[in-house]
Amino acid sequence: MPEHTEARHLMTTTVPTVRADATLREALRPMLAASAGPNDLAAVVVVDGDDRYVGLLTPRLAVKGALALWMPDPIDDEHGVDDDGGLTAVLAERLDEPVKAILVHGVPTVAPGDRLVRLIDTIARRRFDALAVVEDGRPVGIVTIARVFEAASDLALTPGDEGIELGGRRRT
Amino acid sequence: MPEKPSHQTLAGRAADYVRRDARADAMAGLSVAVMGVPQAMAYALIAGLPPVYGLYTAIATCAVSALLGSSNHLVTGPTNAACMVILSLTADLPARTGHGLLEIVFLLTFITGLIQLVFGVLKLGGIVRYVSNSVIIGFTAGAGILIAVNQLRNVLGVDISADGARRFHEVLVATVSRVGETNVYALVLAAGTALLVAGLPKISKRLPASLIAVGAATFACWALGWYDATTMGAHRVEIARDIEPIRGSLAIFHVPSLVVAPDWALALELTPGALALAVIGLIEATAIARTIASKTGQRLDFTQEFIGQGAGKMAGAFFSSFAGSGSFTRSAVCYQSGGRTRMAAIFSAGWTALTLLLFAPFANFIPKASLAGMLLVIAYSMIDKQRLKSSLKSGRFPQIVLFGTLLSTLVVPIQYAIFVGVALSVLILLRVTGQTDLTQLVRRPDEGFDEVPFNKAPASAVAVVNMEGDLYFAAAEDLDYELLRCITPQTRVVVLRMKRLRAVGSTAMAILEHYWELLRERDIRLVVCGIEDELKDVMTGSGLRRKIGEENIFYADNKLLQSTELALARARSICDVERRNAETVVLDGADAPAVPRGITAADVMDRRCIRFGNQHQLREAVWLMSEMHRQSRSTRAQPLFLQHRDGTLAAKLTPWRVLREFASRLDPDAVHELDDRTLGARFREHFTTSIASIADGDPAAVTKATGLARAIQIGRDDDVDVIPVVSEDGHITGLIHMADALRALARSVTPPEDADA
Repeated sequence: MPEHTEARHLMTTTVPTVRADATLREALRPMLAASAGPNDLAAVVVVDGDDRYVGLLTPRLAVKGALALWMPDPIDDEHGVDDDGGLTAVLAERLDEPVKAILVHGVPTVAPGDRLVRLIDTIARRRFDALAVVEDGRPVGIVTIARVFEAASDLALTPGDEGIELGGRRRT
Repeated sequence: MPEKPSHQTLAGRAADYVRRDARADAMAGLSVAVMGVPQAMAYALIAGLPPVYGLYTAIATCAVSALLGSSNHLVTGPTNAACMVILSLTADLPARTGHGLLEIVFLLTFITGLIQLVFGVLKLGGIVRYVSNSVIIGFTAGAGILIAVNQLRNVLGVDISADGARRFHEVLVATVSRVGETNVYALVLAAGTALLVAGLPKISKRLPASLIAVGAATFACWALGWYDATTMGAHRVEIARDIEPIRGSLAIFHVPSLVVAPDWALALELTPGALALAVIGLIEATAIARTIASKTGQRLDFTQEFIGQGAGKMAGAFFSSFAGSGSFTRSAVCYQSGGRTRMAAIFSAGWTALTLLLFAPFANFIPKASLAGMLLVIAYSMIDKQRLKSSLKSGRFPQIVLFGTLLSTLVVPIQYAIFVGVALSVLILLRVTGQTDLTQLVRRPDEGFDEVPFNKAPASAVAVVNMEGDLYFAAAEDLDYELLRCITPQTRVVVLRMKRLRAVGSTAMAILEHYWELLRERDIRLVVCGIEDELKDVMTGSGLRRKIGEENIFYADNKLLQSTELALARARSICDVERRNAETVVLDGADAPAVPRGITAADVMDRRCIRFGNQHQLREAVWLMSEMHRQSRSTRAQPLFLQHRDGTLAAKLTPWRVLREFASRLDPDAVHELDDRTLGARFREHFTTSIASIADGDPAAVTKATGLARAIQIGRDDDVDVIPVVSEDGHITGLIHMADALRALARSVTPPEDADA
């Protein structure tokens, strides 16, 4: 049991990646394929031709990026069902554009040795769903908010809490 | 765990043992002997026997019972309550029958052992279940009082044999009336011993208090010559040598005359008492073995244990022993001193024998008053004040049993007190059969509970059953099947609330276990809540905790219904997980129209969401969120939506907000030095924060009819991943995950052939 929890203990072992010049539709496909559950995917790392880190894509970041310039007229809720304020059209366009065009910039990365407090600080400050773990410019894993939260609450909760005993969770 | 033994031959096993465990066992055995030698001698005194016979018992009975028993830590020896019973049974028999006291005791020991052996062979062990906790507490307390009163004369150094006092009150009166004859020297020795025995453990638990105390008193008595009639005259202090000289010899084999050539009338007269003694011994042994096994995980064979106990006594009768049984103090010391196998008990017998051989001359000078002083301290500890007090607060019926048994130990010969206690239990049982009230709890919209008659709650996936009243063992069988009646075809989880139930631990366990099995056959899960401390210990011992699953057990707390709330959350999360793959999004009302229409929230929303009252503290919220993440194993963030008491959406608590709260008071410069443990402690400091004060109040929500576009717009503008869907009256009915919204949208702008599988 490590004395300090680090990014390397919490990150996924596989890194889903997509080329920066792939279309948004292809990039989103693996994330949208499964509904919430053990098989879902929180994020995809965008890489360049040399497999070096370029950016991160999550559903929320995708919405932010793809619809950044979408300025609908105020949508009237009552007729909202049929009038989507042009959303469909915008999205249809953006889906065929390369990922790098809609990528949100300034998403921070973390290093494998970064400790839990730094992870908390980075991921919670701007409420990211996930962060890429990068070593020498290359992505080596993804740390999700779920795992960071689990790690922090595991440390805080003790078996004495409310008499509820937690099963031990392995740190992989 | 030690590695497997290299050979399976006896020699090989012996060699393995010597290599691995012998040293630990020998040391543990020594600790037991050190504590047990003075105790054994004192307990013999309780029974009215010369102290040295306590040592013989601690040697012979202990060794045989350990050889033939099953528990690795149960150590047999003289016990206080059993010795009290022996006194009561045999004190006046020598005068009446003309036999010697020792022979009578050996006969009693033999018969008791025989009864225990028969119990073991016939697997009658279940009989101990009929002696409830209240009976044991009352009996032990009463025995303690009796011991104290009987030893008072030894403490004072007065002789009341001329008064013919036998009953409890007679003894008390006779002793008190002779207070004027108190032998000051005896009193000093007794008081000094008592002070040391009571006081030394407070300085350090590792000190062998009774050994030091009795040793000091013996030394003082010898050095000051207080035993010497020539210098002290009538004020001399009685020592062990006066009762019977202790020979430093192990030639204790002695064929008990009354066993080989029985006085059948006497044997018959002794049998009921022997039965009581047998039952007491079995109860003690069972309770001890179970307590320790729950710590060591050793699986016990109770039949084996009974046989071991019975054989120990029968053999002991041939080795000058009286009826010893499983001793809690000896076993506890054995376990805590690192004993690993049954050999530890045998080692303790060996060390005791060695002590006898080496220190017999010294032991002869042990003052009777000193042993009596030690016994006073022990007697005081036999009265479980805490349990007695809490019994006063609990139900009427356990009170009657407890105090009834206690009183009967003082009023009738103690050996019958157990039977009185059992009889009381049965009588009361007959009165209260069927008095376990079952009701069901139904969740109100404002988050409270309504109590409805059993089996009348509306059908739902989660059934909450409230058990109230007294629960006695014979009612148990019917109760299990009664509890099944609340199950409907929709039921997936049953929550049993046991807080207001007054039950005998073992009874409750039997019910729970059986019910759990019944539910399992029907593929229904069990969650229990309102478990009090007592029940918790018994649950651990019975292995039920593992079966039901730690995450399905919620312990009673001070806040009303809190463990029930959490149990409900757990039950719902079980249901949610079970529905995971099976669920399909259900369109409200109308069939799917032939004409494509706009996509609404209802089409993409996830109905699985856990609502939580906003009056809770961060601790409960963190636990619940942690559970949610663990259950769903999704990588997505799972916010907790909080509701007001009336069920309307109040706020949202996200994992990020919690993490920021955790990190809020950390000093940015020093924080990287903190290790995980300290970090956890710092996080915990925030646990009492009220979640209402840190949650995001008034999160933007949509209704089922809201169009997808609007939902996505909210997602973008508020930068959220999850949007709550509320009904007309403001209650949360579902969640929209941005990924699901995007998927629906992507599909709607993509020709079907290209769509995701």
